[in-house]
Amino acid sequence: MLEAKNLVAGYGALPILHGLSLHVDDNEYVGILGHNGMGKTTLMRTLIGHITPMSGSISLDGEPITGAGAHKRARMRIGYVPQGREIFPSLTVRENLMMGALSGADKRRGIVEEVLADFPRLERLLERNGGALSGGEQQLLAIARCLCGRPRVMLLDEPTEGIQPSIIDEIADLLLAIRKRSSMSIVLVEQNLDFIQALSDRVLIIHRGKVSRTLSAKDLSDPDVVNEFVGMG
Amino acid sequence: MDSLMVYVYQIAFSFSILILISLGLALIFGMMKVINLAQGEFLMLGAYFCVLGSNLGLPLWLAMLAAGLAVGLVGVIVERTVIRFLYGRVLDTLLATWGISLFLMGIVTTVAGPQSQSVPSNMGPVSLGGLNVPGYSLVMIGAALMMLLGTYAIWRFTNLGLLVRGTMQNPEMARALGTNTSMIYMFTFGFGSAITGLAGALLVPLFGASPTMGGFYISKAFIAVISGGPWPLIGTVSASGLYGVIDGVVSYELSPVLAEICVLFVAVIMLRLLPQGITGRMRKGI
Repeated sequence: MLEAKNLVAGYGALPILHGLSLHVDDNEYVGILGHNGMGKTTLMRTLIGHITPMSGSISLDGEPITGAGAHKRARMRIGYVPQGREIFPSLTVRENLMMGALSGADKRRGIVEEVLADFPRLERLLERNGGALSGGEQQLLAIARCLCGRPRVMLLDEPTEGIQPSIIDEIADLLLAIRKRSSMSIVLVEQNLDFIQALSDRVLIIHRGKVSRTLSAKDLSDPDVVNEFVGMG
Repeated sequence: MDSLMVYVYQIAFSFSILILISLGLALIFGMMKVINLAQGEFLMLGAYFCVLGSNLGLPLWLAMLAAGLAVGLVGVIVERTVIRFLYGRVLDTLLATWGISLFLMGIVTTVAGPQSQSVPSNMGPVSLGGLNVPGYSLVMIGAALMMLLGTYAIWRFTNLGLLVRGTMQNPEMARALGTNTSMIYMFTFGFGSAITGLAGALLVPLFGASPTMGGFYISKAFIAVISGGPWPLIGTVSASGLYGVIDGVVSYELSPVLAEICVLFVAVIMLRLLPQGITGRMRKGI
């Protein structure tokens, strides 16, 4: 469904991705592992459209979107949960969710309520400012806000970074439940091996801006493979 | 009792003038962080469009509304052709908008001449507590309040207002959620320009229109918005309230010139005591 071919992208004239390719099928959760500075977040920012690639192409259902701006991609139902969550600090929780719903592909009323059914923690915080939430609550809010746009594919960048373990488990359970009942796909960038193993159908290892290896989730339980990954600089 | 009425009127009058001249700036400078040096000339353009509309035979209120819309259109054109290439570049914005300001003053002077023009409101004086005040000034006070409440309501309660507030806080994230932020910037700038133009038109029956009138009002507007602090609407209203009281009371008791000096003096002290502005410590607002 979402496909990137030979992406070369970066900041200014300095490329960080060097010919990276990947594809995601309907209802597939693809994990991406890599050390810091290997281009994981650059890849996500290129997929959503914040960075225009110097070469290579991105397509959604065969339709090229390489030149489309981020807001057009969002309306084509590519959802984005950025690293650091990027909650609107001075909007309330409800307003943050409405920002996700207003410009989304699905303009029905009541979409915020539907999404909230999966987020009991947020229901109690609706009138609170986004900036007043804990890190874990903000992460839940960022995911819920993305779901309000009814994404076909969610780009999820380091959702467990700095989050308390109980909320990490909640997020994992929720994403597994969504996989069962919808056809949404996920591209998941993560450093937490347990989390990525629990969720991913396939894991791509990124090294120096390229996919260096593809693993099945099962491979991640093999200590040799893990050691190899951890030892790789 | 009579003198109380006079005080209330004087304060409301000063307050409403401050609101009129600074509301558009609160959006463009306060929210968008664009220092538009041509803001005063937008006010002046509004005044001249109102004179023009009235000369063409439009009823005064219609001429005023048309002037607001026309200046809104000018704002949209300026945003699309100049400002949108300069977001985040403060010095370039200053230079470009200063140029626009000189251009607008020049063109109006060439077309309409340097002398001041006016349109009478055809409203007689009203007696308020023994003081005869222009009846039109009450209309102007009401219009200023309505513009303030209307802007607040749009920003606070509509979907469009929400998209504007979200975009101003984090444009990149707003884009990733599907908001066409370029259109939101254009709308906000155009809206701020339109209410500035409407304000200029509302001032015409009392103060007339002249090519250099912008400079006279714009410094006060910047003082009100900057003293207001990080929440432009609430901040500008509180600052206008404070300065309105000082200006209204001092200009009635002593003289309008002394009132201006007092306002400036208090503004300096305010910025020393509250460098973040009146709303600097508020965590919620608009």
